[in-house]
Amino acid sequence: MLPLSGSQPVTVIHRLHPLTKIGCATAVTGLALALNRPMALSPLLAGLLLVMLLGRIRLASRLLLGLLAICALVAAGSLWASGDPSEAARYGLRLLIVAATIPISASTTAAHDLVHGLARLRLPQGLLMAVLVAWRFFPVIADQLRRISEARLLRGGHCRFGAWHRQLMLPLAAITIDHADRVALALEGRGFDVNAKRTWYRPPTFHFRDVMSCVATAAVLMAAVVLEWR
Amino acid sequence: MSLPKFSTREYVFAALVVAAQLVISSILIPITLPLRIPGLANTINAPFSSCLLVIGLARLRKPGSMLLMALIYALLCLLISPVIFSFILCGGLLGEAVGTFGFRGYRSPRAQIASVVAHQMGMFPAAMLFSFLFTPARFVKPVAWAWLVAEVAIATTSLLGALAGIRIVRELVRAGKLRIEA
Repeated sequence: MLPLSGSQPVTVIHRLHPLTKIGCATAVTGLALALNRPMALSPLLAGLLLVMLLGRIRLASRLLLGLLAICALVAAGSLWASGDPSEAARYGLRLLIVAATIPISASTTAAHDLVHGLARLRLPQGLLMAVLVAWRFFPVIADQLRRISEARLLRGGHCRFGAWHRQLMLPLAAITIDHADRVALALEGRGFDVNAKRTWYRPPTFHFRDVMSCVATAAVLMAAVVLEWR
Repeated sequence: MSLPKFSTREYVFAALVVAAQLVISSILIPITLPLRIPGLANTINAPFSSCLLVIGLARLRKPGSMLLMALIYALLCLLISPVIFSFILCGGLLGEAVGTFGFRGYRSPRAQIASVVAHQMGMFPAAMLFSFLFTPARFVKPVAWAWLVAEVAIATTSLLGALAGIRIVRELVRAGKLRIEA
């Protein structure tokens, strides 16, 4: 699942600071990997499902079924290996929690919001600009790759295994270099300097809702820890 | 955090190499994932990624170039999952360590190939450690052997991709498309 290319914030989850979402997802993932009792893992899963409901995150039925099938397969494999239903539930739930964190950030955060959020971490400006350029040019390069493939088919060529680099990678590299030259020239022509200090038009700031979501995440984590060592 | 001084051109070039890498990965990885074979996604993706990374390193050449490309890729994947971010960063750090400390930069094709292969191989053990948390204790030993085989497969396909990348760089230089500083 790739992040949003651009969206209007519609729910409270969309309006959260990107670093809040990433931080909470990291904490939940980390704790899910450390906990062993299925009972302790269940509040984490319940919390993630609640966030998905609040964020109106809908997964495609094929994706959801595939994910559930993989988790069931892991749980069944564990049950067969250990004969312990508790261990099977542990591995199945762990995987489900790690997978459930993926769509929360990816489908509620636009790439430019992430970059604005990362600007607060004082990462090099050039690196942030490069992340944005890579994201913006993803559809362009994908389109060019499709054209390369169509052109090859029009010429009646079939991709020979030994010639993949000449038939696919060479034109792709040439197109990438062309784009890079043009974009760099356009940026330099507009006076862009990666080493100059940069300001942001609308940097995302931490709000009360971010504090509240951190508190709610901490409460869920505490509940899970208490259930683990009760 | 300080990366070596890269120019706007170099950042843009690195970004577009990563965009091409992301396009290829977004096509190949979803095809391989349902098969659930350890390391298959990396093995299939490695030749294409390595080829593009070698082209990137041949153009950038400065120490830190591998880390720069890995960081751009990792930051884009941060939204998908912090776990994927950590895999890619691990690979990037290993590749950069090989290139910078082993070869003092990416001037020679040997340094470019070694760094790219190390990068591809470095990503898999991080994923492997993560996968151990989903593997029942009884299966850890046989699965460890499967992972060793997967690592060899990744190294092989990555090496093939990197060698293809070197050939592409030579052709692009001959055609005047790629300027490489002496």
